[in-house]
Amino acid sequence: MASDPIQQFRDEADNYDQTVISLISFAHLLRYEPTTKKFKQGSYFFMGRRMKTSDNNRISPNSTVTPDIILQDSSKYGLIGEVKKTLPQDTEYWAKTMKQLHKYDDNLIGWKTPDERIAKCDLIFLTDYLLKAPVLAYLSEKKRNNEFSLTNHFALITFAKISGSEEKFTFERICGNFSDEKLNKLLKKGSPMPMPLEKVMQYNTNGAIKFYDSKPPLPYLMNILWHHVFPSIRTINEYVNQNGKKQFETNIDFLTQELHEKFTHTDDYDGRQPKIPDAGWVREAMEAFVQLGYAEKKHDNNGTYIVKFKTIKDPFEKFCKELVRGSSKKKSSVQTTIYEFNGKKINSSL
Amino acid sequence: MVIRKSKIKIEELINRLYTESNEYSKIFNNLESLLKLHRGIKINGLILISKEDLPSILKSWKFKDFNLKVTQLSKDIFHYTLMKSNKDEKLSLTGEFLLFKYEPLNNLYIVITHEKFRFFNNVMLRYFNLFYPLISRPFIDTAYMRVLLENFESTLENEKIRVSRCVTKNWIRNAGAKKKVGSDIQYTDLPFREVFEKVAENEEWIKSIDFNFVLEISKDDILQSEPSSYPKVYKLFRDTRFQCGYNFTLFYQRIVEGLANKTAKSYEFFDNRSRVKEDHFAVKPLAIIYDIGLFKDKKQNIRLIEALKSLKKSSISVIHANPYLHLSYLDYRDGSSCDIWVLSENKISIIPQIRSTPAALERLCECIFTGFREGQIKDLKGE
Repeated sequence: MASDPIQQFRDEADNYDQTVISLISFAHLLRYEPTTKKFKQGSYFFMGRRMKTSDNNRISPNSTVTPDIILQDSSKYGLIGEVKKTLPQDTEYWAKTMKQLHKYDDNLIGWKTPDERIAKCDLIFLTDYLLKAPVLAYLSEKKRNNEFSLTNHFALITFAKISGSEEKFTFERICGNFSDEKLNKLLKKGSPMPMPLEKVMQYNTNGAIKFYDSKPPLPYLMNILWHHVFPSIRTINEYVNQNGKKQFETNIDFLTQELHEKFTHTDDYDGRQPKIPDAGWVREAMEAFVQLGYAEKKHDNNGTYIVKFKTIKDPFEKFCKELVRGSSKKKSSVQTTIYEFNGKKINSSL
Repeated sequence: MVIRKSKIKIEELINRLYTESNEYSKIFNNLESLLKLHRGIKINGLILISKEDLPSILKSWKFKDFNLKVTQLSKDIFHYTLMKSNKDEKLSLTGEFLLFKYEPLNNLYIVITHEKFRFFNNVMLRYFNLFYPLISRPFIDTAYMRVLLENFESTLENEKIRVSRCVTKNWIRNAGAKKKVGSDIQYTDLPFREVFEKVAENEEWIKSIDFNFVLEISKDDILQSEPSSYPKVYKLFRDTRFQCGYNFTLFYQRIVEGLANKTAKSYEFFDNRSRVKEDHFAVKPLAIIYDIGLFKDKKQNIRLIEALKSLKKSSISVIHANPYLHLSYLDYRDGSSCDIWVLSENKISIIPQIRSTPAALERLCECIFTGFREGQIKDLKGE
C-alpha cells in the first residue's frame, strides 16, 4: 500500500473494484455455457450467503458463517470460499482467513437444494496472482505444522489482470484439486484460464455490480452515491427548472435499498443472503458527506439527510483529498482524517 | 401568375411565410419565393426531438428572460415569436420561426427561420438548449455528413457539389499543449469527396461545412451554378443545424430529411436505457467501436479521460486507468450517469445506470467523437 493516504484511498478503491470483478469473472468462467449463451441451468452464484455450520464443525459448531463466494454447480456439487485481493503484510493476520476456510470445511446448510444440503462441496481461496508465492509458502508451513488440514478438497486459485487486444482476468489453480474432474480440467495447474472482461461486464447485470459482502472504501461508496444514486433522486423537471433548489432530502433506508437493488448481485436472492450494502456503511458515508459539508443531518431519528448537490468535476478524487484532509468548508480547522486505514480508526474525534 | 420582384417586398414574403404556411406545400412555396426573390436571405434551421409532444413542452415551460408566443397554423405547423429580453431594452431581441412536424415521425420537428444567424444561434439555440433533456438536439458525424452529400449530388444532373468552407477539429498531439483539440477553418473550392478524404487522412472531424453547386461540363470545364453572386448557399453543422440560401425544397428532400431520419434512429437507439424495475434493473450497454486498435497504446486511455473531463456540466471519477479503463460519468444537466470501460483495443463500452436519457447519451457520445475520435455506435451484446 502507498504511503500517500490519498493514493492509499485510490488503491483501496481499485482493489475493491477488482475484487468485485474477479468474483463475477470467476463465476462467469464456471457457469457460462457458450452453446446456450446462458448460465448453466441449476447453477447458482452468491456473493456472500449465510450458511449454517453443523454440530461437528471444528471451529464454530451450530453457527452462521458467510463465505465470500458460493458457486453451486448443480444440486450435488458446489464451491465455497474466501476472496482476498490483498492481505496484510503481517502474516499473523492471515490466520483469520484460514480459520474461515476451516469453518467452511463442513456439511453446511444453506445451499439451493430441497434440504439445503449438498452432496459434495470443495473449498477455494481466491487471491491475486502477486500473492501466489507468499500464500503458497504460508499454506505449506501451516500444513507442515498440521495447522491447515481440511477434510474437503481445497484449491488455491489466483487471478491476474492480463492486457492485450482484450483485457482479461486469468484464473489459475496453484495447488490442490477439485473433487470434480471437469473443474480440474478447466482450471489446470500451471495453465491460466483467461476470462475476457468485456464478455463478463456486458452480460446481464454484471457491469452494474459494485459491492460484495465486504465493507467498501469510504470514498468508493461516496462516489457511487454521488454519481449514480443522488442524481436520480431529483426529477428531470427539477433539472430543467434550474431555478429550483438543488438540495433534496433522502434517507438511509432509501439509499441502502437503491444501492442493493441496482449495484449488488441479487440474482436468486433469498433470506440467506446478507443485504448488501449494510445500512451502517451507508450511514457512515452520509456522515462523511455531513462532515465535508455536502449534506446536513435532520434530527428526526429516521436517518434523513439533506444533500447539497452541486457540480464537482472529479468527485472520487475530491472526496479522497477531503477525507484525508479531514476538513470541510464548515470545519476547516479540523486537521484530521475520518477514515479507517486497514481497519484501524486513525482518528474518531470528529 | 408572374411574380415581379420589385412589387413584392421582403416583409410581405416573410409575413406570408409565417401566417399562410398552414400546409406543408405552402411552407416550401413560401420559402422558395423568399429565397428566389431575395437572394441575400438564408434560411436557418435545426432539428428537435423529444419523447413527448414538443409544442406542448414549449408551451408548458417559461424561462427567465425569454418570452414565446405561438400561433397554430395547422395541426402540425406552428408559428412562434421568441423574445429575449435584456435590462437594456435596446439589446432585447425578437424573432420568428416556424416549427413543423417531420411527417412520418412523432415528436420530431423541424425549425426554420429567416432570421439572421446571430439571432438563430444566440437566442433560438440558447432557448431550445434550456429544455435539455426534455428536448434533444441530435448530432451527426463526419461519415454521415458525407453520406448526405453523396445522396444530394446523386440527384443532380450536371452539377457537382463543391466545398467553399470547412471547419474541422483535430487532436493536438504536442504532449505539452494546454489545448487538446485544435480547430481549423479552410476556405476552399474543392469537390466534397476530396475534402472528406483529406479530413480522414488528417484524422480530423468536421464541425461544419459550406457547399454549393458547380455545373460540370467536362472534368476540366466547370461553371458556377446559380446563384453566381452567392456561392455559399448551403451549410451543414454536425449538431444538425443547417442553412440554405437556394432551392430549399431540394435541400429539404436531400439533406434535412436525411438528418431527420438519422435523428429518429439515433434517438430510438439511445432511448430506454435507464435501469428500470420492469426489466429487473438490467443494464442496456452500448459501445463506440473503432476500426483500428486505438487502445493498444495505453496513452489513449488518458486522452479519453481528458476528452471526458472537458465536457461542461459533467464529471468523471476514474477508478482504474491502466491497463484497462474504468470510470464513472455523470451529466449534471439531467442526472444521467453511466460507467465507461475500455476493455479491448478497439472499443469503448458504456453502461448506462439508474437514469439515462437519450439527450445525455447523445451528448456523451458527441463529446467522445469530437474530443477523442469518431467511431461507430452499436449495441453491446453480452455473451
